[in-house]
Amino acid sequence: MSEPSRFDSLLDRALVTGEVPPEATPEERRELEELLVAAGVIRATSAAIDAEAAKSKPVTRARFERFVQQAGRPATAAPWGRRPFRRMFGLPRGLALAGSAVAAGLLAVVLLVVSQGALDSTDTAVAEVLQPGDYVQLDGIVSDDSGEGEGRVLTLLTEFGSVRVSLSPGASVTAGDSGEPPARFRPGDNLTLSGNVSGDRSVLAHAVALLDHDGQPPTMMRPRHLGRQSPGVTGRVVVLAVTSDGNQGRVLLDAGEGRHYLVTVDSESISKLITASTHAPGARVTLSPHEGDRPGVFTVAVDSEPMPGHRMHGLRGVILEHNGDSLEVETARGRFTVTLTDDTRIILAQSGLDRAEFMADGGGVGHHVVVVGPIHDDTAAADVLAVGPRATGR
Amino acid sequence: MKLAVREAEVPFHESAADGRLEAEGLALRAAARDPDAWAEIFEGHYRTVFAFVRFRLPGSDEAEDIAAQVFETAYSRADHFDYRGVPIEAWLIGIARNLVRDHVKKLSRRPPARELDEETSVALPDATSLVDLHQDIGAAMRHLTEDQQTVLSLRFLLDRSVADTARLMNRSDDAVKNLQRRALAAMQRALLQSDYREERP
Repeated sequence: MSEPSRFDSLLDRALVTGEVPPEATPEERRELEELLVAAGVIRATSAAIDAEAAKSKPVTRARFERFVQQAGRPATAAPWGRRPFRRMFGLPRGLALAGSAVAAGLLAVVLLVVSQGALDSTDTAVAEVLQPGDYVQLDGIVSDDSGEGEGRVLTLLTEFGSVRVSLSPGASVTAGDSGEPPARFRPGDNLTLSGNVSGDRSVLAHAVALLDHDGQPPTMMRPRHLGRQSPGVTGRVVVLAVTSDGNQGRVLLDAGEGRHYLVTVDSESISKLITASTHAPGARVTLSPHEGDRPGVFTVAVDSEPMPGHRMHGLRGVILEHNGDSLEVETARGRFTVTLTDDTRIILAQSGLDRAEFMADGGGVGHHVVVVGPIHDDTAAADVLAVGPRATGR
Repeated sequence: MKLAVREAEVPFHESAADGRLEAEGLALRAAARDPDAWAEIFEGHYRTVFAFVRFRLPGSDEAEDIAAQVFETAYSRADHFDYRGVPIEAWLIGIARNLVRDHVKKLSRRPPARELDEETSVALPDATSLVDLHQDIGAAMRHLTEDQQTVLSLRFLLDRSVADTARLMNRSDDAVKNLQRRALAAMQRALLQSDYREERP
């Protein structure tokens, strides 16, 4: 090495210009060239790291917002000693549940501990999957059901983290084969639900159905984005989310072998999923790249529908009348009045209609339609309305 | 409560270019845990914090987690922050250094087999990952001291001047230049080492 001050000056200039100054001696030139290579290698990673930072920023921002929000409440736990969420799970899968009060009690304790431990550590995954304003369909295992009336809050364990669920006024709560839902859910109850994501990433449920009492604590996985065009990925739908305008959605897919992917899907795919089963979680699908010029957007082919128990809160029929915000729909179960609200996601991808045509009085009459939302007697409030092609002979 | 956010990422030292008063005002609001101030700090410094952390860790997921912890830690300790001595950026980088150091220590204490199991349980090798940080650098970094890693990340990843780097590291300009030279030389040696090449998968 040459004298520090002279060499440092040469290095300063070389780092700025990228070239070795002409006055450098052969020995200095050799050393400077080596150092420039090392600096260049580091600089070359900058763009890649910037891309990672940009990708992670929304998720981290959501986590930080939630942290600030929680820190503002009294008796908030200190953030230190946060444990990686991967360590929190891996519970024994053989917990015997069925019908045993002792087992149910044990599960309650385990689920409570798991959910509390998971709340902070899975924030990232929850924030990624649940975007404020989206309509979502998901399944989960109850770990807690507390509060009364409008203050009632369920805590659900899902494959992407712990989700807080509140029930909207007028929410439809049903119980599969047994009909009457329990006054309160028990830890271990397996629920399927739909609703809108609030600003704090909790879900305001419009419809909840109890599937069974034998839910196993899910193995939680951190979803990955399937950003590249990777055709032929198959798996089970874990979550369907629909944006507020209904033009786009996201699917959280369990592709097996520990792989969970979060993908953006087009409105036609949402329509296919809704039409196939009204409740997408559980359906097996194949993802294909969007054929248009929408990089990163996928289309979905439904390979098999979910188990029958997952179908809920849906109507399938033909639109008979359309006046303002009200539709008359003829179904195999009779005639229903369907109300459209400001939050209704109207998906027209398979109808051949544009929004103006459909929203006009009489728009969509004679078309197939699938309605998803809470149903009371012969009326339904549409969370999602998937309008299909015109029915034959109409 | 939703934090008000700005879309543009503006380096703190630029956003506060209008003067110390603005920066000091932000620091005072941050110390009072004003959500808007923290939104501004997050927006202004996230890229810097993430890049600083990411440069020293092998995976994007853990870098994201540590970066989040940096802001959470800073927020929790906001009332201990004294703007008069340290700019916010230097404070955040100081927290990041400590968290990365702790994280690396934990990783080094972990039995290899268990580490492999845990990593594969949540971070499977993913062909769809957006970015594969240059493996050469990741391995070469193990041959550098913490100060050498810091000076390289500040100078060449975050593009800070010698003077800024000196301020952030609480060193003199000459000390930074000297450290930078030794760090680049160490990096270059590490990149060329034949035993390092054998480590590559």
